[in-house]
Amino acid sequence: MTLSAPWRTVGHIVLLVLCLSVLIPMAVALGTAFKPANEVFAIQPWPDHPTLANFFRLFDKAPFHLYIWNSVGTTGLRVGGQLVIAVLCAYAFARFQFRGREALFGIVLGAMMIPHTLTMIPIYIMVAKLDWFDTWQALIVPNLAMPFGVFLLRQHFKAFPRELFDAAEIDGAGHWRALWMVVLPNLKPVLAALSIILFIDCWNEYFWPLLVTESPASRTIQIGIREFIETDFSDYSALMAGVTLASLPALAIFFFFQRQVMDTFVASGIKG
Amino acid sequence: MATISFQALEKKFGDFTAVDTFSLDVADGEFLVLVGPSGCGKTTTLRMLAGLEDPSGGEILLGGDAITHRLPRERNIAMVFQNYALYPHMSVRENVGFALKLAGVNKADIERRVKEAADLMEIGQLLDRKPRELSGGQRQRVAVCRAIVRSPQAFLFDEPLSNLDAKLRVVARAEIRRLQKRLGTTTVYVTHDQVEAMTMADRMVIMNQGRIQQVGRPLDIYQQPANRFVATFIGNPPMNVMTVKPGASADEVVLGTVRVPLRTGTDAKIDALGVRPEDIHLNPSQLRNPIAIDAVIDFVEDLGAEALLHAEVEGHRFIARVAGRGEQVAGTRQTLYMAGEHLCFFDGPGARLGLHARDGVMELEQHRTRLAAQ
Repeated sequence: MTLSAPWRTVGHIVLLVLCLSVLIPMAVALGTAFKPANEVFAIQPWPDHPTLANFFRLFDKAPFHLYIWNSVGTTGLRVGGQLVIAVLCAYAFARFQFRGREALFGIVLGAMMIPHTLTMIPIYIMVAKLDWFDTWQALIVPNLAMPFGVFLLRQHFKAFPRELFDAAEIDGAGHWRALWMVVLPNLKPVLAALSIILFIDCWNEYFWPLLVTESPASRTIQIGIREFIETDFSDYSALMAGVTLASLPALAIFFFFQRQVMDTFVASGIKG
Repeated sequence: MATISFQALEKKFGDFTAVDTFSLDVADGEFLVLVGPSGCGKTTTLRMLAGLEDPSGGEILLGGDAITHRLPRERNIAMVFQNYALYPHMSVRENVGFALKLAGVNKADIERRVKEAADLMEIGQLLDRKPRELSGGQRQRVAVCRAIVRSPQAFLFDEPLSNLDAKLRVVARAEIRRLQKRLGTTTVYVTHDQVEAMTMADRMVIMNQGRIQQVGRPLDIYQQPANRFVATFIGNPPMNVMTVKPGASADEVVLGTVRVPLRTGTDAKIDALGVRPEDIHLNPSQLRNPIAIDAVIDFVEDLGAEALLHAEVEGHRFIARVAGRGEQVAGTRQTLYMAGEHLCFFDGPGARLGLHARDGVMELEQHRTRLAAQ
């Protein structure tokens, strides 16, 4: 379907407004992060005399290096763990015949429908009982099983050509080798897309880390920024430096995997 | 190389029996073709031999060893799939050498054996390409190459030519046959294409509804089909099967008003008469035993060197394959002659009866008299 010229113009304007509503705050944050103190409240979004002083001040005032380390470490481990569990679980659901398979998969799907906030308190109590409060485990372990990942990968494993599984089996591969050497290399785009979703979900998480962390030894960057706002709100440019730092990895991951994600959508439109 | 023995093999999916008491011995070095319509159980039989399906009953022996419940990798067989099943992320070299790599063969040996197999299949120049960079014919050669590199005890082919165009298929089937003769490896080949089956097989097995209908050499099956199903499945166009009624005596049947005398009398109830399209002629002079039928030709397919006449006699439709170039005209009435010596007779359930038509000259004379009177 093609739109008539006036409607296309209206569509473009709407899209432009939406894009700008996302891009302008990012540009303001980025510009302010590099502005010297006397330019912070200038209307012009970019600095006349760019400086890194805001970043140095940020690290002086708060243990941001620890926050970054905690965020990178817990996100890396959590996403890695989520991928491993989702891959194995989805493979079992897609390839193995066992009693109660469909019911079990139904429960996994059902778990997707339970709001995260509803399970937070019981999990919080569990974490406290395990004495994991204010540790990396508290940030990583409760979130390792990701029903959405299981669901997404199961669908792709089911759609994977049966003859490739058969060929691998005839060639001498058991389930492990078939999975690691034949299936996963062919599902890289899906894994990349899932990785982005999981990464952004974890990196930007706010409420759960706020609940279970209290010291710089385990606080993540999002909580670090929150704390910085509370203690030093007036240092606006250092705050924006922190916001810029917090945003960079998510953008980097997206750009890194973007090609693969695009391939997923392009490939799905090509016939065998 | 090895013999293969199927012993009362059976496969059920719930209440549905896909393969029913399949018993057969395949000789060492034989090229056996399983042929039948979709859903006849031929691929399921092949998959059980490969170890990709677990039989519900029966045994499979490979080289005398019971392999029925062994894993595919413990069977030393190689298989070529319908869509080739080449690993998309691997180069041709990696595809061909994958089984050897998994078997723990050292790199130098893998390289040598891959090269030898690739040279044999004439795909040496393609080794560094990915499957998506190959044509259909090249992929098919790579798939065969992947099978032969392992020097297996048996080759299994699951409709490997059905994705090729008609021209390439003719070349490929000759190549596969030559290769198999050269290597001497026992081969089980599944196809629904009876031309492939006829041209490639040492012996072929006709299957329908999970059961073996007939086993034999292609020409034997063509000339002496065991039953009505085989008669109409093998041959293109298929054998014409027309319902007949008992004649005045036990040694004749009647097709409409045409009497077909039999050499011997029979107690069996003859239900139908079968005649191959090429056994219906325009000219009786070359026939030992012509039986005349007065047919209306309603459609002609000119194939160049020959023509297919779609005709009707006494309410029965049939096809005749006759020599000639565009000489036949639709809508005309024509006397055609069945070669009586090649007629088949089937009973009610469809089994072929060991009966033959008697000299039909008398019928011919009667027919001529009738034509003259009209």
